[in-house]
Amino acid sequence: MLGRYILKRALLAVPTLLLISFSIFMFIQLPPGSYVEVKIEQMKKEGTVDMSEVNQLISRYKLDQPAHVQYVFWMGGLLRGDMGESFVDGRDVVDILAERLPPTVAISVITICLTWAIAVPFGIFAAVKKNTVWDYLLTFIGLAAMATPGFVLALVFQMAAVGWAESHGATFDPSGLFSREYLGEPWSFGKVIDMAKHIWIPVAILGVAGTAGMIRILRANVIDELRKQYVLCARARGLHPVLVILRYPVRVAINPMISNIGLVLPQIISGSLIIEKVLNLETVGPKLLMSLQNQDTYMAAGIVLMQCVLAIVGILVSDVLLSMIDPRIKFGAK
Amino acid sequence: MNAAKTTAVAPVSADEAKLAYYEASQWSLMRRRFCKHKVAVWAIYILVALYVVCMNCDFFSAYDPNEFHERWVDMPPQILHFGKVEGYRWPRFYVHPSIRVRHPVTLDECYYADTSRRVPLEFFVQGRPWRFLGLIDTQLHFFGVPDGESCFLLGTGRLGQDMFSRLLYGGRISLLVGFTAVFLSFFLGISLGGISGFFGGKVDIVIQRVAEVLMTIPHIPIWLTMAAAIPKGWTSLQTYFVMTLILACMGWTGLCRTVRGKLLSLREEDYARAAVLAGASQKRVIFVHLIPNFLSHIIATLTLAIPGMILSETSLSYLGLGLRPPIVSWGVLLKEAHNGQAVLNQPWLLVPALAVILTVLAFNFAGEGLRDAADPYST
Amino acid sequence: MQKDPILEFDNVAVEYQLDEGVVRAVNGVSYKVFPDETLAIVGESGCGKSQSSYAAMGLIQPPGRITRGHIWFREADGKPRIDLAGLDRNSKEIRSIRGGKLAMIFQEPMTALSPVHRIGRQLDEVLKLHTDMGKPQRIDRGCEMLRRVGIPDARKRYDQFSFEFSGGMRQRIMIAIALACNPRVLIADEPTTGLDVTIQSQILELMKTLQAEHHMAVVLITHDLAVVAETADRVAVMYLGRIVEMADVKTLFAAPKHPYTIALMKSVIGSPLAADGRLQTIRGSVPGPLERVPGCDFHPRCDACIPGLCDKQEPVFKDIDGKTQVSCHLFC
Repeated sequence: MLGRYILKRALLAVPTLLLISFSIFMFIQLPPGSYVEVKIEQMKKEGTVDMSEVNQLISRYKLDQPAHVQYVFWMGGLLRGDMGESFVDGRDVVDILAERLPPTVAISVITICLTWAIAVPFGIFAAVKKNTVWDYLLTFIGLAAMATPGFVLALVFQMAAVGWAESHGATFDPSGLFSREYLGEPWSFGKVIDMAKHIWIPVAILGVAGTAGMIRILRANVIDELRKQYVLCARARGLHPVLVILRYPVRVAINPMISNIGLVLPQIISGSLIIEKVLNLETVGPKLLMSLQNQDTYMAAGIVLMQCVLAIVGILVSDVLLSMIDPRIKFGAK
Repeated sequence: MNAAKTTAVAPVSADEAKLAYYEASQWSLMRRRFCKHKVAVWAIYILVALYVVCMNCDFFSAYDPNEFHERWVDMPPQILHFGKVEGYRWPRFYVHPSIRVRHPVTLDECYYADTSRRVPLEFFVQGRPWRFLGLIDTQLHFFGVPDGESCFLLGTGRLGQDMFSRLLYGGRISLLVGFTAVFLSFFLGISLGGISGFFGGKVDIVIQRVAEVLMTIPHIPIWLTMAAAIPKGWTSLQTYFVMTLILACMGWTGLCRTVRGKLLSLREEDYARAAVLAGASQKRVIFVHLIPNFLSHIIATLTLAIPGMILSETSLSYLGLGLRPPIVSWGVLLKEAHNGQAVLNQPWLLVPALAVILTVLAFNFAGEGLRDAADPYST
Repeated sequence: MQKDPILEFDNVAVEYQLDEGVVRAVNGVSYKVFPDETLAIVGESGCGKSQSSYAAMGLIQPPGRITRGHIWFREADGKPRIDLAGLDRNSKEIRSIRGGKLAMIFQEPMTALSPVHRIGRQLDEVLKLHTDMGKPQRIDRGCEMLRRVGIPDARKRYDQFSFEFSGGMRQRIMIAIALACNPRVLIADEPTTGLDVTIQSQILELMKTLQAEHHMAVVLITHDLAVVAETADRVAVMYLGRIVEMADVKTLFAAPKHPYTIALMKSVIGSPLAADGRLQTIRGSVPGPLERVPGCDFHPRCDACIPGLCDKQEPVFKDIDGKTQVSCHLFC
């Protein structure tokens, strides 16, 4: 039953994906100029224009052909597991992704877990303590956290770090995910440990707004459920009041949030491009930004396509999860 | 309407007060509940003040936002004092003039306040010309100091521009530039959601499919590529404005789904059936009986969507993807605070961030208040 | 012979401390309930009939609290009685009583069951809390309870969700949950409101049968006089947080004393008290929750109001003829 449902949905997703990938490819080609022009411009600055190199580039990627031909070429590569080459770096897109994906996913997953771990207890607490000083305090902190742009938070944090370093006579570079000696190195045990040391800063900054938002949503959901009759009934059965809240209203209130986990999937890749850029992290987000600005077609299209796939998978995961945790919703019954 | 009137006039007796309460329309009940929400009411006051000041930034600012003052570069704020000033009878606002010196040890340039002199602030003074509401030529300004003196209440920037004036001019752009887009996406969301929920069938399926595809496409790449595709001759403000409109064409999906869902479930409610049985046309049922049910919800969502637009302006401009100088916006101003070191040396560069936080916070509180007030079950 | 009362209210008051003032939801209620007996508490909505039963269950939520009086409960004959009013609403003692020996069913059966848990889970919960049965025993007991409240195919239904049952079925499940631990007192708060008339009588019939089997006392809270006439042994009429009249069901319907009781009966379709065959209404409306009138609570709406007495002095609740207790100046 479940397997058939997933298969059906996956088959339905294929035409959608084709449509999306085509529009993405077209979109990326939309701005005037192309990488060839960027490249020539660059060579001019360096003083030597080597047309043979340019021509080689053009012939290899069929850059002189219309966009839809390039699309077919790209798709053909994709099916063989070849995502093309980044014009800027001159390396395979797959290689660049292999280098940048692990830290990206690590940051996102840790952030999401931390967000849940903090938001769930506080959200329930705020709902139970509705209209008390605690609730008002949490509300204020939450709204303030949501009102602060992420990059301002990053700036303030950097300021504090620099200030602390100055007053201690140390040098400290708060940006980046790795110490200098591991930059550009292949993955190793030491590099992972090094990342674990640096990862907490971006996680903290990325998590603030999400946590605050989730506390607000969970609070509202739990308050809605608390006034339902079945809560009173559970209490009348003699169940411990804490258990009453955890077992019934929280269980119902958390359903829509669990089902939203799927919608978070695409964010795993580009959680917050802006914060990642400000903190200068070695993740996928800043790479996407750079490739888009440089007309680095394959790099950009590859990342965006991956996001779209994750988004589609995410919606499917959400639907499946929802029908698994909420007996009121049946497969296919929309 | 009648009920709203009776509540506005102070009721004579307790009975009348009760009657007024029972007869009050949904809107006046909502207003009553909102007014109980003290913080939300204050948030509204703050927002009104912010918009009034920023809309009339020509009047309230003492300097042109792009005027360079090479004598006063990277100057810390001059603090506003209140007290007696020589030559004046009554106490008044004044600042101490700032003197630029070279630090004896580090040899860096720095400023110190000359406390021996007091420069009084003059109110309603003549200054550079501007147009009130774009119509009436005037030179009147809210405050100023005599020629040759300085009054940089929030310090100056890298080129010696007055940060206070820039904050107000930046506010005018930041608070307004996304408005049209927010309304466009709301218009699309409500009408498409309405059509989807109202007609159902094939139309519904098509709209929902389109919404799903649009939800899948990430916005930042679209933003970047579209922005690059726009003709070079445009100013960054024009570009930005058009971009927000394009994004609005993609941002209606969430509201569309909400409206559709609400319409579908409300259609099954007893009172909607009753209205149908009473012979009301389907159009009348939707617009007279169903829409008012979540109009309040939509207004609250709107109040919470505007801060989103302010935040994206600041973030995008900060990254250099949105507005660019010489246009002044809060995001553009924050760009001067490019790293931790800069902020540490010139903390006043973060003042626009405080303005952003205050505005968004006020919108959030007002939105929360509206949502609570709109919820008939809230106590 | 007179047995000991199982549940006894002694001058109980419940107040809600709100920003706007104090709401006296229950204002000095006293009554006794004996085994095998059904006491009906009748009154308009908002008269405090539900609140008084919530007080016994320890379900009064802040800002409300029991401000005076005692609620005596006897877990078994011969055992010392416990004052429920004196227990903290979350204390272990009251939790061990509520749901076990003192059970309650609520109005709105549609929302009384959790939408995301199997009904068996909720049946099992109450047995786990109040008995020391093992898991298989509890399942047996749960299914047996479902059968006894008239749910066919009990084992299969045990694992279903609440949305798979109709309103009447859900109320049966609520009764099964409430009676699973053989309570001594069942408080039924408008158990049939919102159900079809045919289902209503089935549910009432079911409650009666089970009451006889268990020698339970039932406190039936309702605003429906027809239900009272059908099921109750004794009746207490409440108005604004007080009992204004209490008598056995025959006496009350044959010779109502308090003007409010009379007015209430006149406003029922087909009532013999409505002289010209027209339906009567009680003039005026229930005062707001924060308002307090001097003297008798009912005097502003009472046809027999004695000026100078009823609007000045509070009437005393007392026995007038050995059958009826009433709180009215007319009978002093």
